[in-house]
Amino acid sequence: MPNPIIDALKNIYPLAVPEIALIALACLLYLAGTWRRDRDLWGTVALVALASVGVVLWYTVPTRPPTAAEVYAAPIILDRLALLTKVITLIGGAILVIFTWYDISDKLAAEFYGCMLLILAGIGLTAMSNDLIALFLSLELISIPTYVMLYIPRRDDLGREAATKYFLLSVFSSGILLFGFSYLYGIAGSTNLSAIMDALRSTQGVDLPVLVLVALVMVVAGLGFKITAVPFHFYAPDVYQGTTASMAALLAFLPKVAGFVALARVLGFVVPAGPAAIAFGPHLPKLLWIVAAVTMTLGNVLALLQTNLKRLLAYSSIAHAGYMLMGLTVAQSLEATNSNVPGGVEAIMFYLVAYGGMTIGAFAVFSYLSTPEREVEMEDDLAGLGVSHPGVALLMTLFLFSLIGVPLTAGFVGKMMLFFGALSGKGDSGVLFRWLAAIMAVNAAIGAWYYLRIIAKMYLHRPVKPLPKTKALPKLMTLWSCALVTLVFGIYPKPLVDLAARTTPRLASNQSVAKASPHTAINP
Amino acid sequence: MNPVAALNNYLMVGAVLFALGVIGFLSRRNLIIMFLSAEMMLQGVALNMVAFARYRGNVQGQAFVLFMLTVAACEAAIALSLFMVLYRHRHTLDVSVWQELREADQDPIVDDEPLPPLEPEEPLPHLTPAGREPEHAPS
Repeated sequence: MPNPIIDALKNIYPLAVPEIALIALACLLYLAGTWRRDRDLWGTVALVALASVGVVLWYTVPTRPPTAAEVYAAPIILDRLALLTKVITLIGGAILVIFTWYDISDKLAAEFYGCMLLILAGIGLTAMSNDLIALFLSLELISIPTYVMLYIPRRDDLGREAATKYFLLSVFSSGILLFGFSYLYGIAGSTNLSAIMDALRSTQGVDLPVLVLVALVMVVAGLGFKITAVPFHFYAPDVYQGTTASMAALLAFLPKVAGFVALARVLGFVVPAGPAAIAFGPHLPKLLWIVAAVTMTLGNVLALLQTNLKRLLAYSSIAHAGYMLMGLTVAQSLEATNSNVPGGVEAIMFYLVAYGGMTIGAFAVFSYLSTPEREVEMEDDLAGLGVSHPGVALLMTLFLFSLIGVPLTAGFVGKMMLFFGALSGKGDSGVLFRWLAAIMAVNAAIGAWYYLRIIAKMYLHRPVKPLPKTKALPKLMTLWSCALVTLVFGIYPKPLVDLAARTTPRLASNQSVAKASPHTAINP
Repeated sequence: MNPVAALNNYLMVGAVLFALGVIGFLSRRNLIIMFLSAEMMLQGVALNMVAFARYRGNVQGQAFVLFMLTVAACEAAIALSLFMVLYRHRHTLDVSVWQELREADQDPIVDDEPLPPLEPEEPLPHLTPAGREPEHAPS
């Protein structure tokens, strides 16, 4: 007699073929790196690997919804959220490979690109996780190569200090996350996320045990490191300042994608067993509300004080993490009221794409203008850019407009979705959500000040010391692809909005994923 | 002892280990001790997991601990190699010598009670090169 659980476990391998391929290729790169030290060769290999994995990904799309046995036994599940995350990270990863091309030496290129492939595999696995153990292991698969990658491109005192800071705080935060996981496991008696959500939901109406609250706070704090949420934002400015612009761009984008997807999974916003965010009760929105409000305000206010460009973008990345946390805050309310406004996890997915485009683009501008003799560090270095490099100045203006949220850029569409999501949050704390929307509006205004300050520097000031003309094709390609993402999704966002909307069962046109669960009857 | 009371005891010890780890991480300045404190947090978590696994009567918690220890070993390898590089450049494991990265208008933290200066290391013993017979008195 066939055992459904054994079958479910056998069926997961085809789902993870892209990740298995990426890890195998990374091992191959580590080995082959001892044979030839050639940046162009290994960079090309990494790009070809990403492209072919993208093709493989197309064939792993499951044709049927997961069975109940798979939902409650399999450590990984491939749903629409996981698929969209994988596509985003593969494209983002390819752009980052091109971006880092000239920033690493021939000697360490193979190791560097191997680490990059491991990180991308880790994000894919994080997005597919249906189990605490799988989630923890895939998060570590992202963290551990990041430590190595932080150390490789810049090997002076600043680089070393940045790598150490990131490493120590990352280990600390993963300890906190694990403590939360241990309590979640204890409450449910299972490490399966769907089983945990069911166990939590069964206490509905009864007061949640204190253990649940401790677990909730610990998990949000532990993953808060990845998304640079207060109070785990301290490392961001220091680490971004101490590493190369390309690594700062990587740190601003990839861990954030992983962190938000992991939060959506472990807090039960998108689990295969139907909408389950109700599991944590009213405490979850309150906690996320506080974190979101403090994160965006602190990020924006401290960014006002910065003159170093990388620190400024670090604080801006903290602020944008705060905006994205708004989506998680209202997701539960939108789910409970069956609202059709895309303001929850789907808005976060859209915002992550927009944020990736504009932030990687902005860092690429600094990197493009820098030479080994003269690095673009301070705001004054950009003075007069409008005259000396009109094209680059125009692109930089585009990225900054997107960061501000000016219409016709992707940043505007993302902010709109988050803002209206918060406005349409209903239920007991509807007033609180509207306050959050108001705080976001005030913050967007504060943010506009320091972004506009840079634009004014570029166009209204005379150059202090004119920047040399540089020609670095990979950096230019990065700039143009980021500009493309920012503009295309700003002018015609519908395809991506639709794709993102289908990641949550609430907005999906076919509710097939949700049907697998016996618990969908909670919200008729 | 009934299972709930036993579980509570284990959870309390686990929480204490975790808290000691957090305190150690935040208050110590030696790089290696900071890392070991972070490891102690993980030991608290491991105790929690094993206690819950016993209480719930399944092995998922124990499996989690095995994976956790493996990852901790990887992290220890990276930590030690990173700390060795740091030591080679500044000849101390004190974290407070690494503070170039900070806000522009923030002064570096100056140590009020610096550690006593280290005694100079003894020079390494001079060994006779191998591969050739050392000179010795004729027997």
